[in-house]
This record gives sequence, structure tokens and C-alpha cells, in this order.
Amino acid sequence: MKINFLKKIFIFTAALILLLVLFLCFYPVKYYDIISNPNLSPSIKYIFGTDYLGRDLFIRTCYAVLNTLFVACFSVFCSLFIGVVYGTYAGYKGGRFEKKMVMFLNILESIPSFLLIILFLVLLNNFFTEKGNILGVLMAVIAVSWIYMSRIIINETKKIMNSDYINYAVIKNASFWHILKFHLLPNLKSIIIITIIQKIPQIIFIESFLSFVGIGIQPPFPSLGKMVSDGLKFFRIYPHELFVPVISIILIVFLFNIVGEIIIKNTKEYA
Amino acid sequence: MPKEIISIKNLNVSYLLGNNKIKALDNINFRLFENEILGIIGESGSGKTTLARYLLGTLDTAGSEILIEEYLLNNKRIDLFPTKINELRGSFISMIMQNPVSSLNLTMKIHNQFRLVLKDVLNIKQKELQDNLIEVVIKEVSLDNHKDILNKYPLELSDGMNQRINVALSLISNPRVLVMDEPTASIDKENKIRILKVVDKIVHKKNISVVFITHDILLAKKICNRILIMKDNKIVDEICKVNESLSSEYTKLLYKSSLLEVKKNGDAVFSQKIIELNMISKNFGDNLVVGDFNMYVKTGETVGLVGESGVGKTTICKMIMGIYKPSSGVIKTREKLKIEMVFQNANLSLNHNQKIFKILNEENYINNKNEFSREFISSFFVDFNLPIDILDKYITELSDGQKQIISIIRSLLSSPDVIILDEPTSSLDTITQNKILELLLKIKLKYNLTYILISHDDRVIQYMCNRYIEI
Repeated sequence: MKINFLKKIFIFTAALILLLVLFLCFYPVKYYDIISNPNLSPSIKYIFGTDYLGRDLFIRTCYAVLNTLFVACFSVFCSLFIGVVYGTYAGYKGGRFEKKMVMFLNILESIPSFLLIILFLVLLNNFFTEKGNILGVLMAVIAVSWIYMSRIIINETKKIMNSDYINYAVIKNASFWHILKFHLLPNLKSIIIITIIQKIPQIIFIESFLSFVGIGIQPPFPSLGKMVSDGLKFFRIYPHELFVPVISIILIVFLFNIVGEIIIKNTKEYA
Repeated sequence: MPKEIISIKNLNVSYLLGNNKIKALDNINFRLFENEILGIIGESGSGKTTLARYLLGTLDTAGSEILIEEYLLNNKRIDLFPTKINELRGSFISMIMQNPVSSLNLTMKIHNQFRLVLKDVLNIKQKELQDNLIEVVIKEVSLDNHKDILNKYPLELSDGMNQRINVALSLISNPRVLVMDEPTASIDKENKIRILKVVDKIVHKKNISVVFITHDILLAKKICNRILIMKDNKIVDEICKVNESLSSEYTKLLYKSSLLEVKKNGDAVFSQKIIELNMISKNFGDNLVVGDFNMYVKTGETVGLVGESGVGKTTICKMIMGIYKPSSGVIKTREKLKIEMVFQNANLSLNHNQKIFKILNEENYINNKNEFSREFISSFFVDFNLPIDILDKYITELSDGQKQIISIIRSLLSSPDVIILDEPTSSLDTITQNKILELLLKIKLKYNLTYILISHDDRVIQYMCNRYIEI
């Protein structure tokens, strides 16, 4: 029953995102289309009004939300993949090998993460200029967030590796692949879900911040952070241009936190 | 007539799980008198610990429903227990838990733990006064060279010492009642005797009443003045002396199960040596765990390995299994000898997140073979009287005894010649213990097995083994 509940949440979220994508695909106006006068206030025709170039703010917000979600989800899953592989292998090997791998993590972690991200973005900016540097942002975020994931996974793996059922598998000459599939992943399941849920809102913030500063997703591609920084310029005259993206960020993070809380509550019960 | 210290009338406790109510205590009535040791005996899950936690007022009131007519502590009525009992806890009633290490703070030196109690409960802040009190109480629990011990951390001491420190910690505030929840369950024999001596001493010397919770009726018989027997969350019997003419059937069963009859199967002759250990030693770093150990095992016999905890019994077995390599010496085994191991704690030796059918089939997954058929597995289930529908459950849905049986079946499935049993029954209550030991003997004959049995329980060794080696 609890698993069904998780499935329902998942399906609901997925359906919502799919609807949004479909809507944007078939809606004639795109995020770069200048459709009317600039800086219009919200009205029935343009529910969020228009921005300083005369583009529909509602459409831009939708695209921006999708971009943000894409960056957050994709980078969480990628960094989780790297983290799980790195962490379980280090925890499985143990001993000196694990110490070296943890040392490597420590070195990476000693560099401030924003510095690392900015460094990456500056490096990658030249390669991924098309699609508004989304790929660059993705890679920079992944490069930073996998460290945290693998640290958690290493600790959990070490705990599991102490159990006698691992001893039993070792007696039977089990391969790393078998131990990973049969013992580690099922036992890591709940901690993985919890990490995903905690990490997504964080990455949404990081992405918005990067775009706000101007090194994230590049225009004309819409992003919430960039929209905030644009809105800030005309804040006194056209406050809606600031409020729309800010409220969207708050709503997304809030939603993810709530969904996360529900999921964590349910996973803990059957774990 | 001795003075009454605790009196409980009609106590009912149920735990709330979602919308379900699970009965934990059913109509409990009992009295504790001054200067007595009251034993409470029952199988695991019979509500002993819930009762102990109620007495201390540490039951989670949000997750449970508590109905009681009257709770008198020292003739004072206790109504809403969480509020009123706070003042009494520590100074009047105190508790000693089952696991000695986890009830101490591992990051604090022992003397600091004492100081904390003195400061918080008794409000004594002068250092010299504290030192004197600590010294007195440490001597009371017969810990020698106390200066050394006080400057150590809990993990540097043995389990037995830690448990005695727990006793000292609760004695320092001069309580009148001491609730002990299986204080000796995780402790080896010698330390057990020491702790029981300490308990006996303090009862007479310091005028303390003890509620002694255990599942071992022989132990209770030794030290308790009066024993309450609990079954299915009820008190089913109250006895003053355990002997053969017991009133209730269940008590008889409990008592009988604690006395395993030693069956002499003659002086069976075993010929063929299948495992031989020659001058084996093993060290982890500078730490010598096993030194120059010799042993042999012949087909069909049961060899016991006896010794206090920490002498390297499990290490020897793990060397036989090939998990560790010996630092020096040779282990000879017959060719194509299949050795299996049943681990001590079934909770740790079976994966909680896999269904039992998959757990039993693990070896096949490792070797990329076909799964065992359900019929094949169920033929083993019949030997152990297990229902076959367990196969689709998770380990957490089983009782402790069933878990251990699953772990034994897993070792049987690959048709081994030798099974190493690492304290297979130490975490179980006596009735389940006996069932499992009997089954082990039965399947030994049926499948022509050889056992190596590790245990610190004389009873088990004498019941099972043809000979034993003391380490």
C-alpha cells in the first residue's frame, strides 16, 4: 500500500510535467517570441504580463521551470549514479583502498563548492554555448554534488559490509556485482531515496543562483534566476516581473520539500 | 509482614500502530515487598520489558494506551506517571538495561558518567565528596583497581565490567528499587556469576528491592525470592520456589525446557579425520587472537568449542571457513569437503530487504545456477515444521526462532558435510532454544552431518557434543 502511494506521487508529478511539456510543444508562442508591447501588467490575455522585451512571462516561466527541473533531476540522478558506483566500490573494497578513495573525496571537498562550479562553468562556457549552456550547468552541478552522495553511500556500505550476510556471500565467492545487486542496493534503497529528495531543492537553488549571477543558463533561454535578475532592474516600476519568478522558485522548492517529506515518512516505515 | 514498596492493580497497556491496537500488557497485578528479589520470567515478546518500562515511567504515552486502576510507589499514589515519577526516578527507582555498553555514554570517561549522576540527581558538586562516593560505590560492585577503571572509556572495558558499572551508577543515588532487564543476557558465564553476587550483596546490605527480569528460569531460581511467570502479556503464575511439583502447566514446561536431558549415545567411535588444525595462530596487527591452536574433527561427531567471549572461537571458525587466513600453521581438510556456517545472530546474517525464497537461493544466484524448486525447499521446511508460505515473506515478519531456522535451512540446502554453528541459540529463549537444539540433532542423523558448535553455555555443549575443546 505504501509503495503504491509512492507510485501515485511519482505518476502525479510525472503527469504534471508531461502535460506542461505537451502544452509548451503545441502552444504556438515560444519563449523567444515577442508578442506584444513590453512591460504589460498581468491581464486575462497575458496572465503574468510581459517582460521588458514584450515576451509572454507565463510561457517563459513555464519553460524556465522545466529547465530548472531538468537540471535538478538530471544532475541528481547522474551524481547519484556516480556516487553509488564510487561509494559502494570503496565501501566494498575497504581497508587502504577505501582510505585512499575517501582521501580523494576530502581533497575535493576542501575546495569551496561554488568556486568549483564557477571554475567549471568558465571552462565549459566555450564548449556548450548552444542551448544556453544548460549542459555546462549540468556538468558543473554534477561535478560538485556527487562528492556528497558518495560520502553517504560509503558510510552506509561500510555498515552493511559488516553484516554476516555479506560474510556468507563472501564465503560463497560472490562477485562485487552480486553483492551490489543482492545486498547493497536493496539495503541502500531508502537512503538513496532520501538523498534524492533532499538534494533536488538544493540544486534548484544552486541553478537559480548561477543564472542570477549570469553564469548559469544563458539568454535567450529562460531560467528563473535570470528572470529574477531581469525583474530586479525594473522592480520599482513593474514589480510583477520580479514576483513571478521569485514566487515560482518558492513554490517549486516548497512542493519538493513536501513531496520529499511524505516520501521519507513512507520509506522509513517499510525500511 | 514486610513493607510493600510497589503495588500495581489492573494494568493494561496496548501499543497503537496506525489504527491497530496491539495488547502489550493484560490485567497485570503485582506487589513488590521490601528487601526481596522478584523475578519476572517469560519468553521474548511476553511483555516483560514493557512492564519494566512502565515501572520507570518511560513508556511512550503517545504511542500507547495505558489503563490502570492504581499504581502505588512507596504508598504514594502515582496518577499521570510521566510527570510525577520524574522526581522519583533515579533517587527512588532505577533501572539496569540489557545491553551494558549501549546504556553508557561511549564518549565519556567512566568517572564523568558518575559525576553527571551525582550532579543531576543528588546535586552534589564538590569534587572530593564526589570522589569519595564514587569510590565507595565502585567497591560495592567488587571492581578492583578502581582508579584505572574510572579513567577509561566504556569500550575499553569488558561487557561484564560495564554491567557492574551500570549497577554502580544506579546504586550511587541510593535507590530503593532496582529494575534489572535481563542484566546478564549478553554476558559470559564468569561475569554473570559476579554480577549475580553483587546483586545478592546489595539487596542484603543496602536494603534494596530488585525486580529481576529474565528468560532463564534456572537463573531466577538461584537468586529470586519470588517469581512471576508471564505468558502472552499476562501473569500466569506466581511461585515462591521452583521445584518439580509446580502448579501451572506452562511453568512446568518452562522448567523442563531449562533442564536439557543429556543423552548418552554410547561411546561412539569416529574414525576418519576430516578437518585438522595444526599449530594455528592468527594475529590482527599486533593483537594475537589465536595462538598455537590444535584441533581435529572426525566424521559424524559434534565438537564443541567453549570459552569466554573474546578468546577467538569465532576467529578459528572463520579460518576453517576460509574467511581469514591463518598467520601461521596449516589447516588440512578432506578433499571436496563442503563446510557451511550458521552465524550467531540471525538478524544480521539474513538480508532484511530480500524475500526468504531469494535468501535461500542466494548461492544459486552467485553461481548462475537455476533456483531451487519450491518443492525441494519445502522438503526441508517439513523437518522444521515451518509453513511453506513463509517463502514469500521478509525476515522482519518472522520470530527470532524462525529466523535462526531459516539460517540453518540455508546452510542445509547445499548438502554440506560439516556445519559450523556459531552460538546458534544464544539470542533465543529457552523453549525455542530447546526446539532448535532437538531439531539440530534430528537433522544431524538424517543428513549425516558433522557439527562444530561454538557456545558459552554448558547446558548446550553437554546436550549436543561428543567432546569439547576449552580455549
